[in-house]
Amino acid sequence: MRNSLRWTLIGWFGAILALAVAAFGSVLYLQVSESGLRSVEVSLAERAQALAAALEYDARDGWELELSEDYLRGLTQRCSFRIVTPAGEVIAQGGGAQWSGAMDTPSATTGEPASGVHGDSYHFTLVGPGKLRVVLRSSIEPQQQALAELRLQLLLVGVAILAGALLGGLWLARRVLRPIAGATRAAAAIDASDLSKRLDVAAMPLELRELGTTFNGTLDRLEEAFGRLTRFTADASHELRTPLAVLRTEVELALRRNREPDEYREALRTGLRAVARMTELVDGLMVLAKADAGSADIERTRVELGAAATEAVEALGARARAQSIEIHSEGNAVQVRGDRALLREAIENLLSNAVRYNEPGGRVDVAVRSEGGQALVSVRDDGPGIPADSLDRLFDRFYRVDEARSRAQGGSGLGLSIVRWIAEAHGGTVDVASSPGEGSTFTLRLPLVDGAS
Amino acid sequence: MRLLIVEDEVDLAHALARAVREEGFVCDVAHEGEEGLWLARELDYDLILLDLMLPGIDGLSLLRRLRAERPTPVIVLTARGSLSSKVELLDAGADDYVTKPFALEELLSRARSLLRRAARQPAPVLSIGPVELDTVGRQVHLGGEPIELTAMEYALVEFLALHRGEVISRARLYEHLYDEREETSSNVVEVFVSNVRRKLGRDFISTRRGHGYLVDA
Repeated sequence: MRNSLRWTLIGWFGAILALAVAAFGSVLYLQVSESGLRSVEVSLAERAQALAAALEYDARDGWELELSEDYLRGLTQRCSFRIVTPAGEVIAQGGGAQWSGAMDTPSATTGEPASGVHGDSYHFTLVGPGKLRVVLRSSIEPQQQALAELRLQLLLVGVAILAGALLGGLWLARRVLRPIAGATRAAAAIDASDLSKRLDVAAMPLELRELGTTFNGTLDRLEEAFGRLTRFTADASHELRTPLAVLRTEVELALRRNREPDEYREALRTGLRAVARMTELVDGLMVLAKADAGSADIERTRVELGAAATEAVEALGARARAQSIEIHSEGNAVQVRGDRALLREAIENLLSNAVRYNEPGGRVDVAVRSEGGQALVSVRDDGPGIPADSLDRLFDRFYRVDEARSRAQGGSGLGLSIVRWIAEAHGGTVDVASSPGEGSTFTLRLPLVDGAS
Repeated sequence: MRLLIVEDEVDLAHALARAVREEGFVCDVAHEGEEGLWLARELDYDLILLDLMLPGIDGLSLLRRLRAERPTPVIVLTARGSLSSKVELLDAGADDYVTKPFALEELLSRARSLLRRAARQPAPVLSIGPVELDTVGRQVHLGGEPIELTAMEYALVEFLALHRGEVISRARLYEHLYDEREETSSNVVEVFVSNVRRKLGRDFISTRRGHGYLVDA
């Protein structure tokens, strides 16, 4: 709940609304109470003026209030008055309400009683002729009662408004958030078994479309990666099935009855060939699986490419001789930074292909040099070459130019994809140029070690 | 029974050839699509074991082109285990399939079953008068007594029995009992026929002069 969008929304909405209602109520209340007092004050001031005007000085009797009783009664309806000399002597008093208690009596000793609210009454003082003070007092109980009522009403209305608004907000929040819930349901319905589903972005509110598009984009990438993985697994299992079929058939056949030792030997040899092929395949798969997981630990040491190439040529020597293929190598001292074993494997794979798909009596040239700030390893053969329409897919996993012929010649179908991965992992590239009938040249390009050239 | 094995994986093709020969069949082997299609069109094979991944014409195209001309039973050897590829195979005209790596005994059993069905003789044991032919155990009984037959004699009896009621020419019998490796004359068939008659009775195989041999329905 602490992290809920809906409750956050309603919480802020409620707080702001409560503040607004409170401010509005307070202003209204203050206005009403102010204007109530004002009208009391105005009416008391008028009466005080009238009383002051009615004061007359008589040398014998001193100050007297020359007013008829009726008029006086009318003047002081709902209020009482007192006229006090500067010495504190009360020369006249009266009114609808009697003074109650001495504390309300303004005394000369305590100075001018301020006009204003005293308890539940309002006092107004006017200094009249002869420094006589005309003090009027009016009860403001009715106003205070009205104000108390107003307070209650404001409170009730405020609470009602707040409650209504919160309920409305709740409904509104749910309504606004409904597309999110819908998108969540739609997203939840998408699982690994069917990654082709997408959120209907066009039907989403504007604000959610970006999220929906991003989500769909993630799904696209996920589907592609998943598809690649599924294809790779299917291809891998397909590739393993053939040597497994050889092994199984050969072993089951051998076990059907008692045979001559030579027959068993032949069966075991065939089985061993199948096992060797599966081993090569599994080795390649392991390298690529590591590459896919991004967990391949690539060392970064100075590698002398010429020496790595020489080692690769030596490793392939026996096979080349068996197929009467000559390997010529020409090496310059070129240094790159990287994993020596992987770089050697890349060169070995290129060489192995050049030997495997060459004709007997063919020739393979390996050259290591630096050019334009890059280290280059090129492996050229004078074999049958590669058809142009196959060049694009040549580095794909399990891609073979001639599916069955190449399989019969051995090879896992992974060699070139491994070379490409090794090249890319070292910040380099591998490419091929080939013309059918004349041979192919594979070129591995890697960044040179800093400062070396 | 003469089989054709079309499989580019040389080791697998040879192992299969040895296995079916041990089973009393004769067989030819092709390692490429074109060669396989040519043989399958030229000769009247009883059954074809067909790999899918072939150089030249691939197995599926081979199957489609063969089906336009011949009803020869075909078992496909596939390395793809997916449902869609199996459906595609059967819809292209394959009679059956096994997924690599298959069990040899299962393949042979499916082959025998398919041969019986192709001859419209689905029962594994055939009874022809007093003669009983067990196509699974490859044994023949006459009046309840087991009869010793050579592999060639058995193959002759089995072919005629599966095509009972049908007159089979000497040339056709020869074609189904020998593969390309053999360099004998079709006259050898007469020798086997007379051997079988000696063991199972004169009336088991009748001769239609100028046409061929017949085992009565």
